[in-house]
Amino acid sequence: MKRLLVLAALIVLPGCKCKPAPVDPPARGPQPTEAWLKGELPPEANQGTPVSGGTLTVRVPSEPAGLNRLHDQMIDATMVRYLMGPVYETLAEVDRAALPENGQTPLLATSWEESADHLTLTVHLRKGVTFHDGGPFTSRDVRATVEAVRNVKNQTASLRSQFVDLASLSTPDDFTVVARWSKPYAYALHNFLTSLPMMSAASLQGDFDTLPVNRAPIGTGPFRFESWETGQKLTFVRAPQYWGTPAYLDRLVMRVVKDDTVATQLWEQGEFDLMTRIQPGVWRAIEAPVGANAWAIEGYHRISFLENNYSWIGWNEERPFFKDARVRRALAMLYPAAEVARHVDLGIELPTTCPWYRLSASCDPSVTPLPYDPAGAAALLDEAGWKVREGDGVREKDGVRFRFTFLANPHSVRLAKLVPLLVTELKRVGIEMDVEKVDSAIYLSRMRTHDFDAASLAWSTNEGVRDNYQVFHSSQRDGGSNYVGYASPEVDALLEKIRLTFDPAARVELEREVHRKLYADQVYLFLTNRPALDAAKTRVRGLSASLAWYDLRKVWLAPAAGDAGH
Amino acid sequence: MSPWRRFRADRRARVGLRVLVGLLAAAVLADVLASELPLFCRVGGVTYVLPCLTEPAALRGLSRQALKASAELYVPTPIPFGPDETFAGTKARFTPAPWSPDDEHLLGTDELGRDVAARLVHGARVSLWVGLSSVALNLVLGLWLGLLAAWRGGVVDAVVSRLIEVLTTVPTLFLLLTLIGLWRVQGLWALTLVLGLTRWGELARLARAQGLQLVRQDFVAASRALGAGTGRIIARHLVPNVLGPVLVSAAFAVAAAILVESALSFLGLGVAPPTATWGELLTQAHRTLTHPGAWWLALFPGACIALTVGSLHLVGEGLRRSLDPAA
Amino acid sequence: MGRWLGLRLLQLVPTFLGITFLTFLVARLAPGDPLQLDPDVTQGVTGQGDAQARFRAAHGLDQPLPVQYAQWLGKVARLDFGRSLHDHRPVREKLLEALPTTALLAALALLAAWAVAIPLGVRAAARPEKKGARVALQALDVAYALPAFWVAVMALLWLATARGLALFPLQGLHSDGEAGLGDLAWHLVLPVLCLTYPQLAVAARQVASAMREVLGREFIRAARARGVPEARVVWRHGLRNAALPLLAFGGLSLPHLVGGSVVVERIFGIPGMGLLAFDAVAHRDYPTVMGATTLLSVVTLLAMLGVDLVSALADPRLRAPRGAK
Repeated sequence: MKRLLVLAALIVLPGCKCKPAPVDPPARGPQPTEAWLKGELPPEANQGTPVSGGTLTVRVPSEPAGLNRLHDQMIDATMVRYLMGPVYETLAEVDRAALPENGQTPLLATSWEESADHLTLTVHLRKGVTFHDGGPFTSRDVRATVEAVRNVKNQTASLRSQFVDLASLSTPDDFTVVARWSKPYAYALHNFLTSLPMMSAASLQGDFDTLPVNRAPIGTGPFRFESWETGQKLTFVRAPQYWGTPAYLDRLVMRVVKDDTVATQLWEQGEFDLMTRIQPGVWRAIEAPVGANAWAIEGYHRISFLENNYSWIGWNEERPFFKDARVRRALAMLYPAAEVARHVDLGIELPTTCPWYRLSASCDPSVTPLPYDPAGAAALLDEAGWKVREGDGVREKDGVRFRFTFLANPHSVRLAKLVPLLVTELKRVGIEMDVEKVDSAIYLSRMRTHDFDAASLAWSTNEGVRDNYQVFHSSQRDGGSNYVGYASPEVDALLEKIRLTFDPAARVELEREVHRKLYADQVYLFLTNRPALDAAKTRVRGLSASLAWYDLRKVWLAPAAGDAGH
Repeated sequence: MSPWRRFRADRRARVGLRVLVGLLAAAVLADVLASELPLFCRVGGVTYVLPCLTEPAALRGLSRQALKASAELYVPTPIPFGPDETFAGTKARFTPAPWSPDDEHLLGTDELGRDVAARLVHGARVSLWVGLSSVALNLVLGLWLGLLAAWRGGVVDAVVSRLIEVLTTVPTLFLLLTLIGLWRVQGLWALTLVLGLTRWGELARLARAQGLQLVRQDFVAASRALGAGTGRIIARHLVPNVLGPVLVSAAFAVAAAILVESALSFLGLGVAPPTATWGELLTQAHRTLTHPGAWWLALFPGACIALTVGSLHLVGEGLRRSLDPAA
Repeated sequence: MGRWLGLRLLQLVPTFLGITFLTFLVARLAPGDPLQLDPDVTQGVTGQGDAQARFRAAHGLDQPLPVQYAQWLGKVARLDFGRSLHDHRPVREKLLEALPTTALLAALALLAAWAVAIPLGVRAAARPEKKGARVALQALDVAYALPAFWVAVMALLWLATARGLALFPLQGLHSDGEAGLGDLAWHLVLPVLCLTYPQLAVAARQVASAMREVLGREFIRAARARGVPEARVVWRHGLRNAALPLLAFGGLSLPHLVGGSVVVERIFGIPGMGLLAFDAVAHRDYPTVMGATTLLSVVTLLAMLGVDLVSALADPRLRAPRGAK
């Protein structure tokens, strides 16, 4: 027993330091500013004359399978942000000033023209651009990149889906590319210009899965790949031959730290200039104005911005329980939003009802979320024919007991917390929910084959505008992303019309209509938008946080005097 | 002195056995020790005995406060919370969970405000069940195959020996990781089965070695001469004579299996949520290690595992000493 | 001797086949499909059908299972484990990156275990009347009862974080930009500690009981009677004769050490076989999972053979062909 007591003391000791200060002196230690609490960069973070030099160390929460942005397995969202711009460049890039609307600013293309029927796109390429291996950038490389995507032998299905209607691609000269489409599509121009990282024709020769550039990318951007220590870090250095304004930083280091707890501790020891994906619990814990938090409050700017993502719980509409929209509405009314917000999300995630970007016009502000109302939900379930059976108290209809299985991804911390809450709420009204834990691989394959009752996912993209055709159109049930098997002729018609509507304002009206219908049908139990929670050392300057992530080309480091040092 | 006498005279073994019995009792009685429903209550003239076990339909859907208010008699369980009861308690709390130990939650709560004590008591079920029943399966497999090999010799022995070598060579956690990670193994039964089917190598090796010594002895040869069948000889003559040393090993194997179960739980490969397990609490402890520093999530489940494993060791050592007083 | 060795090597063949077959079965018969995985789910993945068929054909996943096993075994014999389904690198390359790390960890842990267990066990056996060694053995028992991952996490908290003493690094094998041996040793302290201590209790007891047995033998009594100093009796005559069972124990504890590396490598972020296998399982990367398990088992098997060989060389009785074994 004595040994155990010693043990207890040892555990308590380090733990104590981080507990919020006792009551008497209310606030001892550094006070966080308003901007810091909100996660906004203060004005001084972008002032001063940029200086060249230094290394920026960024925490990366996952290691990509490879660095070939075209490959399905290497496309994952975090990596896109790291490479697009700094290493790989597209013909045009998303206009950051216009966000969240679609807009393009020239990059490897200097200009482009679209025909009036939206079927022909002529692109004029920038001259004098060279790849990191010294080769010149010409229309041959554009053709090779597009062909690599269109080649059905390559694992490029996710990008290829954007180019199925591309009828032909011609290259009249070294610096002109003409793309012809077989039918008009509202996002065709944007996708063609901004989603394809230009790779050199030479680097795409050979077996697509094992190209050398999958491990050591060759692009045209201001940073050039230097090394990749598997499981540890990726290093990029300033590229001397860059055609545009050179980057300020000498070196970019992406340190792979998957475990959030370890990442937090490394961050606290000052290992990262830019810390990403801070856990909500940590985000809140470092707000207390105590000495133990000085390192964060004084040494870092907190950065929080809204990304284009939303999480949802999907009810498989092929199952007898979930066919009826009234049942789905009842389930939404059983979701303990306030409790989740307080204890799981700690007030950080924002409840949503909308499949579009929160800050865009496409979400109809008049849609109000269903309230948490167990009594109302019970009434709705009765109305839909799911009556409580005598005896075991489980609802039943036509001899089917209301008992289903929730497919849970064991790697999601948030789900691990949310699911038990849901089990309790549903049990109270006579619905039994079992939980089955499967890893990501099985999880997705079961969603794609509609082999689930209920499951939860988050959709995310780096763009402000998204075409929800793949997600909600009834034709996308097989092969697409309509995992819940939603089928509504009205929504189908609207989604088709959106794809042919080139006027943004008209599109917004249609999208609002879709939003209203989807929420009324409760196609998903819409959960929340998750803001990015990051932090940068105070000496990091020129960070502009936006939907399109940070522009690392413009980042510079203030001379060491301003360094909070750790 | 018989082995049992010697065992009872062994002070450390006694302590170990007592702790173990206590833990087992806690696991068996978990529903009576920690539940949202009371031990006894009288509502509207109807008396309910042990509603925490029977979960009568009449009390379903009632919140504890409502039940308490309307009951004429209310005797709560020693730990008045269920293992899956989220944000349990009546105290007004202003910080988000996990809440540190206080007079309401003696061992604190986890990230969902679930009572740690209640989850520990119910978690004991998982740990002990997995530990005991998987080793029981190990024992059956190991004894039979080991003795069969010893008895039959020849090809049977060669095959079993290779099988044992395979199982003891493949690093345990790698095999389990692959099995559990790649297959959809997550229920209590499935986990037990996996551990039961993969960890019998050591026991079989021991049974075989002991069996080989016995086979050369006269009484076995005699029963063979009398025409007894293989099964009968193994069951009647070999098993009783090797059981002692094999049981000693089994006690340590239970301890090891409990450690493996908690490690798997910690790696996210254990029994599915919301089932309470000790390893799962430790995962939460890892997550909240420094922010906000929920030490109670690390200390108590860690202590429970250590207590169980430690007491099993004392029992195993005691068994060893009582069976072989010379050592 | 030659015959014994030949026989022992011959026995390795069915064991090797058994290991590979077990690995193959477990990994290849598992449900779920490697292609279906993309960890950050992004929108717009369509037209999967044909891609899947091609993917399967390209990786030989469309063949009947026995054919797949035979093909795989044939390649394994040439140390070719195929390509990773996750990042498409040759599995051999990934394994060779990770193996030395895990081997180093296991070797250091074994050495550390002996370094503590031998003096302790010998002392406990030679001077049973003294309390110190006995108490130490009991303390090791208590330590054994603590789960390794718990100790690892606590060690991180007290010794590595800024909230604790910050004496040791949190993660990895090297500080940024450092490659020195000192830096490596500094990073290895905590992981080796966490890998070692669960072995300590068993090891120390093993030493104690082996020593007790040896010290009870005739020749020890004879040596004592000849007036050989006690220290010499214990450390020279005694330990030398207890070395064989200890060696055998070392061989047997290898699979545990290697298995323990899964947890330790994961907590300390060390890119060894354990972490490799853990990630490969999450990615449903069969070739890597199979390669890692097979390679580790074979290395363990060879290490055990080595132990047997040394024992045989040292012990003339073992050189005779053993009947049943």
